[in-house]
Amino acid sequence: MNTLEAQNVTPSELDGLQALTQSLPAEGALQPFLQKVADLIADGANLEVVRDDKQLTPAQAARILGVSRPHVYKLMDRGDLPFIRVGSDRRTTVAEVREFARNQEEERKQAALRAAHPRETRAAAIRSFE
Amino acid sequence: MNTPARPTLRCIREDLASDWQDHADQLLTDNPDITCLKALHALRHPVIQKAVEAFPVLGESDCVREGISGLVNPMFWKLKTGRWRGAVFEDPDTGQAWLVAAGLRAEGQKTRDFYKVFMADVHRRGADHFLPTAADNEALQLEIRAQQLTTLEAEVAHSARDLLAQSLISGKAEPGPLTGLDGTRVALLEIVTDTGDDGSTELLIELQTEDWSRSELVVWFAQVVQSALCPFEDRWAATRSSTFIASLVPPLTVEELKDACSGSWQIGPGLFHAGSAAHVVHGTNITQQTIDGDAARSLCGHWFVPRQDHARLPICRDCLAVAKAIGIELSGLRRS
Repeated sequence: MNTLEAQNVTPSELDGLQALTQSLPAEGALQPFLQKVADLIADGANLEVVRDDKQLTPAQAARILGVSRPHVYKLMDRGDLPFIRVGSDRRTTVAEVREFARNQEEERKQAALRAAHPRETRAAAIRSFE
Repeated sequence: MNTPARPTLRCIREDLASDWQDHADQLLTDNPDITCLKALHALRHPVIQKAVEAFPVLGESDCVREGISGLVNPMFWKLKTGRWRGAVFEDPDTGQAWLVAAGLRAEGQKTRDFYKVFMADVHRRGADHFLPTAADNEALQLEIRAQQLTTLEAEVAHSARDLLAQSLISGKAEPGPLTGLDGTRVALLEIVTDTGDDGSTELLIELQTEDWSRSELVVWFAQVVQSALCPFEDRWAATRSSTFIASLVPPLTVEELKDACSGSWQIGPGLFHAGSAAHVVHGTNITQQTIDGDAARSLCGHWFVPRQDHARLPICRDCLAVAKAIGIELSGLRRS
């Protein structure tokens, strides 16, 4: 029971969750999280509970990161994405992949800018020789 | 190393207000990066083109040269084309010719002869006002480096395809060095391929920076390699941590691999075709991002600079799936 379909949640269940959320201390760790869950259900979102340390195969990590499978192996070889060995294959975790993806956000933005503005990217390369 | 006669920055910004044959070139004159973007002697304005014809880099021109009277040290040459007049200075140390001033010929009694006005200006303000400045000479050096980079770009694209071919034969090619404008190594390029049972080929490039003082050049080389092998922006997924790694998603088909090897795809060094799908983005900033050429992050996590008419493109399936899953109503979508 790791997934929740929003359409199966009744209004009274949602009210109950809201009441529970409100009863928790606002400055606590759980209240804002449960509030987020309640908001998402109210918006009709389907939710899935995933443990941070859930293991992922290189193929699953590749799909989440939007890169190819050899790319994930290369990142592991370079020490950029931590992994453990399971027999002859490798496993990483949801937390590691999330951390890596977060660190790549700025690079992905910059790559998009460079691709869209090749003249400026080239000009910067020329100027680096001043 | 010289170029054909080139205009000074002052001349293109102050003297050439009209008659541009290319509006894009006229817009460039206000760009501080102009000399990295285009050779100044190639700007399409009649008086610049006339100067190039009369003062080429090597050899004599057929044009008869006549000095502007009343000016001797330094001396300036007359230049005439249509209704335009110009003054050309030849640097005695380097031999580089400079178009230092230009204007329209006298028409009617109310205007004065361009050369007389120029002579009076030189006497009044001093020749230094017109002669090439340190910024002009710096721009010349930048332009020469830009030309050298053009040669390097072709070499980088060539080595990329070479390494690809080697990798396809042996599965893995020895990394090849890339060198900078001064001939020293700046990075190491590795290309790895893996052909699956279905005939599709996984392609991955890795660029290891060796000279960090040249990191902007390495970043540009990475883009040159990517566009040489597959000039479609949205096919590449890149990461940068200890090294720069970029892979193609999805892998190359058999036909695409032929194009990648031959280079028949390439549209120009470092150039890409923009994305082939319309992404779902937040509506608040998209207009400003389009105007500024800034990057937007789509619902599916893709970063791109909006620069196409999205209505002509199919909507990204991942964006639609996320939109559905988190229950947001899509507005502003037009489907044909």
